[in-house]
Amino acid sequence: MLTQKYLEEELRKHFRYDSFRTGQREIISDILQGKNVLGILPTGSGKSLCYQLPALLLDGLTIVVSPLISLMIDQVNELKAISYKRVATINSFIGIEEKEFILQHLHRYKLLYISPELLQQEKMLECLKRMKVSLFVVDEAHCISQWGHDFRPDYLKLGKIIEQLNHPPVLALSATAPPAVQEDIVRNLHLPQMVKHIHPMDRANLTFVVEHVASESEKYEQILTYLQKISGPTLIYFSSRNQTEETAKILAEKLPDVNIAFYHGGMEPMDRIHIQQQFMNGQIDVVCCTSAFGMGINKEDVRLVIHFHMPAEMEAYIQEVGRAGRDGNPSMCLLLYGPNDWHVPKTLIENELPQAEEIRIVMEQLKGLATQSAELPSKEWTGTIHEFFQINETKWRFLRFHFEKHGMMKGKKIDYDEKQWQAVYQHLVEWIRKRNIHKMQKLGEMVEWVNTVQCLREALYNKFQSGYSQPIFQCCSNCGIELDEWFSEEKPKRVKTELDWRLKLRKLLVE
Amino acid sequence: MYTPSKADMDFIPWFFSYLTCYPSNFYHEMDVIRLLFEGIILAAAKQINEERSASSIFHLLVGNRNIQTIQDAHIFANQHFYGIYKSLKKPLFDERLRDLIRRGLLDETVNEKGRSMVSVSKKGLEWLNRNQAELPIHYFRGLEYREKAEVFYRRLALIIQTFTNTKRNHFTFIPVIHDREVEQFVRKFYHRLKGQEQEYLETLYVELESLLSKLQEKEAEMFIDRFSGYKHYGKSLDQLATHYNMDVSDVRLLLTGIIHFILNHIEKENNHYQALYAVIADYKTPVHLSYSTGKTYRLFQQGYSPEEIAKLRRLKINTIHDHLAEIALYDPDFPITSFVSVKEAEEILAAMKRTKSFKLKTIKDEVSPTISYFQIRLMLVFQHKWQKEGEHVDTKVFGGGA
Ligand SMILES: Nc1ncnc2c1ncn2[C@@H]1O[C@H](COP(=O)(O)OP(=O)(O)OP(=O)(O)O)[C@@H](O)[C@H]1O
Ligand SMILES: [Mg+2]
Ligand SMILES: [Zn+2]
Repeated sequence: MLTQKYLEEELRKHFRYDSFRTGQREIISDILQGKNVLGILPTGSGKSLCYQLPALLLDGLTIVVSPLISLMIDQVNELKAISYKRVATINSFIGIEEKEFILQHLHRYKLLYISPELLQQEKMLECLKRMKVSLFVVDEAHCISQWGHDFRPDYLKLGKIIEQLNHPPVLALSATAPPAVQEDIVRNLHLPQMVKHIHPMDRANLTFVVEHVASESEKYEQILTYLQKISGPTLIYFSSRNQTEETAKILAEKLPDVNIAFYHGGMEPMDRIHIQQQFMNGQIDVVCCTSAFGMGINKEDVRLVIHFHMPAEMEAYIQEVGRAGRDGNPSMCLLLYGPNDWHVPKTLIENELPQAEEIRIVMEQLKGLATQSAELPSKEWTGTIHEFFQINETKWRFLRFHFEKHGMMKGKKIDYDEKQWQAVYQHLVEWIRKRNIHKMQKLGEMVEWVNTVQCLREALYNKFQSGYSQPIFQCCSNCGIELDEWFSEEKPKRVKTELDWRLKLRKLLVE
Repeated sequence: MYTPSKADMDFIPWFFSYLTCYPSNFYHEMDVIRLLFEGIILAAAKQINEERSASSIFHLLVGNRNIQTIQDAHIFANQHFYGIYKSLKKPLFDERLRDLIRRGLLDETVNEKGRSMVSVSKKGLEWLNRNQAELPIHYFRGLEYREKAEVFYRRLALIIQTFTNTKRNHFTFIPVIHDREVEQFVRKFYHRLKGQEQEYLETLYVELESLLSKLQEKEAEMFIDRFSGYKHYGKSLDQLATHYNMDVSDVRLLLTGIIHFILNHIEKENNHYQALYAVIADYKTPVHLSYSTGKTYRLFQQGYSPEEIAKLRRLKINTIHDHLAEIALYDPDFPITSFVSVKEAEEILAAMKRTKSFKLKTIKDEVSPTISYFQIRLMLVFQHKWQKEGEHVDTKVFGGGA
């Protein structure tokens, strides 16, 4: 029934691809047989197709949980653009009415992208329970692991949700899950019998370069050098929003012939689409961005990915450079490293989870509430409660998760028990301390990699797998690279023809 | 709620000493347009003139829904600014306000409750007089268009993107607008005009050309630059700001102003602008009334008098008056003359002028006992409509400027 030919015909029919890429067919046919599958495939290898095609072939609804809203929106758009119409996304960006509409008409959809925090809402679950869920997909599944590089507490509830949805077949996908994280995924989803499809994650077409600099201004000099030597679409990653803007401005002045823009999560949705699509469309050459860009970006010919700031761990780095060379052609990943650059990720790590003092204050306040009314105050308690406690939302969600897990709270109800609360406090503080130590170790690995004199490729991939394929072009800066051999073309001077507005309007509308 | 990724948080104060090494040619063509945001704060402050806190200007600009803000917009004749900058964040507003105070254009006083009040200084008034003519403040019609303008613009943007693509049989573009309502509207619109995209776009060209000709060249150009079409994506706000050497806030405000300007024209002369009018003809601005007020409003629209409504709804007449005063805030066609005679109106206005006050009680004590609180409340809202053409409110009510 599920012959090779059948699947390939469906692939051609719906996606107009001629053949499957490595791993796809095996994963898809396991899914169609109702198995639970863990798929580890490199960045850009086509993991999305592993559920987009089955969603059309199975007769119920496929739910995809994904951590990044922009990624969901993009995928929905891309699918609609190829006439894959029965797809929708529910996330906090869409309005109440739209959400209502989708929930009322769920039977119209084959594929539903949803953010993990919305999936937890009672009402949402009630609606979904009434549907036949034929596949439950956990994209970027490493987010479920507290030891993964992008831990999202909301992912921890997915196991429970799968249970409530009456155990539909599950597909978990990731590009950056070393064995320990894979174990975590399987354990947290409560699916010990998962079929594993693990593929090597190395990318033979990427060249790794680390440049050590003494100052920020040297970083700029380096960027200018590389931008001139390697032509093609470029991403420059930063860890601060402000700096994407500043740098875009500086580079634009230095390189008047290159079109440079910035992108970060603080921009309004229409502008984000504009910048993303201009980049896809070749109207911009270089985007200075935070990690908010990229994950959703699926541009084939990104030739150069520069890290102005070092990520906090290797997994994050692998994800981000994964935007480069998705067409398989040689592409360069350049990391700029200055003397105190490790301070930046260190601060991030320390600020990610609540500190002991913060936990103590929140528990103090909760205790106060418990003796008054035994309830949380706000009506829309999932909404603004963290403001009440004066901590950020991620931290509050983290605490809520653990408080509920230990029976200190249930819904709005607070259940005070001095001894037990004391124990939970100790436990959490200790847990966070351990996690921070772990994160600092990961950061240490990253710093070590940056400073290594060995082959960078080997040092990068050996953490994840044994062996890797030979690079198709230059290997890394430690093995030696030849910048002049890179493809660079004399850019035709962009003649900035300033059209009169009437001509612009004509061109837009009637030409 | 959406949690921004770690890297997305701004937590590192970066300092670029080398930024200052670049001679900035930004200020060469010092354009008045880049002063729009400041001009609007000053113009609004001039009207409010220390009667309210400085942050009331913030609430005005973001279009806060509470009754006080809307009533104030009427009282101080700031209706046109209401809700014109919905995405404004308080820190940015405060920063601009501080800057205006520091430069001596605004004077700050702190009242007994510790709230900051601002008034426009002499220097500020000079600044306004010097620039007001060139600031496109008269484009804005916030109270009327704060919601409509957005719907109109989003629909128009998606129509242009859709039609310029479909006329070339190009159906795989990424839409710049995500909004079910807008998408649905455009889908219907498209099915109605399918096959005639070219004709529609040509008419659209003629109409937009005629409207944009009424604006400054740069304004017209900027407005066009933001649209997306066939294999072309429009500029983001930041890109426009860089391209036109303007501040992002000014870009945003100016675009909003232009949209209000255009909307106003196509509504006034809709037979001249049929292609554009079709984009918004069906749209009714929702009126945000409380449930009970809404009930009263429906009866009122059916022609029942306040007394009859009170009887029907078994409510006190005072309650119905409260409702009507709220309705008057939203409904530009509210028939004030059926509640306040010309003579009464003049008496109330005179009292306002004498007492220099907008307080109900103070005004009530100054007028004949037959005039009710309800009538005074209506006059607070409609005082400006009463002004003769060309005469400005503060000269009429307060007998002289600030
Ligand atoms: N069988 C195929 N033939 C040709 N192209 C394909 C095939 N499958 C997927 N692609 C293309 O590969 C690109 C990358 O796919 P996708 O976004 O799913 O990658 P991914 O594995 O999810 O990467 P990431 O880890 O970065 O999220 C897409 O442009 C997709 O259209
Ligand atoms: Mg993916
Ligand atoms: Zn090497």
